[in-house]
Amino acid sequence: MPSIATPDKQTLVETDPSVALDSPWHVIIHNDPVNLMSYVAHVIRKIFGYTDKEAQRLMLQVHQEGRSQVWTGRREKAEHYVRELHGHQLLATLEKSD
Amino acid sequence: MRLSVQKTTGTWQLGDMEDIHVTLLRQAAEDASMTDCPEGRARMVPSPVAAKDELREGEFLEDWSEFVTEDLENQFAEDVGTLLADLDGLETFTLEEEPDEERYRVSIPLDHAMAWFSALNQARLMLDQRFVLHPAGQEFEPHPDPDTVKGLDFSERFTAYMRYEFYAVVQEWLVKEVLE
Repeated sequence: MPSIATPDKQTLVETDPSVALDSPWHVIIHNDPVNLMSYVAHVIRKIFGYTDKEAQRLMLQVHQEGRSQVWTGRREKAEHYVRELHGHQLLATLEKSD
Repeated sequence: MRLSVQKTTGTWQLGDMEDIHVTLLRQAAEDASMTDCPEGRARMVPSPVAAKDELREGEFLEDWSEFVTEDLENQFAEDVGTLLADLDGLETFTLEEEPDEERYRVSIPLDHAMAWFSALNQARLMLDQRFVLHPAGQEFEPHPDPDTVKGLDFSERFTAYMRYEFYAVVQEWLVKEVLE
């Protein structure tokens, strides 16, 4: 609970850790048996702007480990990316970092 | 069965098609329907958070359902509409060596490729859900444990898988030759 001190008063700012804007959030892509591997790599590259090599690595991680953390950052942006991934019919969630 | 796909300037073309190919492509629109398949709908518009976080994210999920889910459903329906509209432009022709066999071809704008991919993907995702093509995420088995495919007709399930594979062939080509 951070405090902001002023000369004549003290204001306490309560921050809900689940919605703090500066808390990092992860975007996770989950494996599914339907989406083509080539398509998953294509979507990762298209949405996040990663290199072909990085997109392939993340796609293989999804395929082999069942999920891959493909991006970390502000919640608002994470929500945007999850919406984009759903629009491309990939299974994706946002998760707060530990 | 013949089928050719090729990219030309500004369009891509499905050519040398027989009746069966045209029937299968039109069937994709029906296969993509979410009607009467809650599992399929849940797959098409999934939760944006893990199940363990759903309680904590109640308000966010309500907003998501109100603002995002409907948008996605509309987008997916438009994609299927694009595929059907493009199929209305089918041309028929015959080959000199087979004058009695009617064949079909259709030219599709390159910027419709993503809509076609989406429509075929919707069809495959829904077929997977309706016909339990990958029980517990496993590879397709024509004769799986009967409990996992209870109530499903063997023949219907198998032909659903054939359609699923046909759509995948077109999709694979689209990713490699058009979307990239």
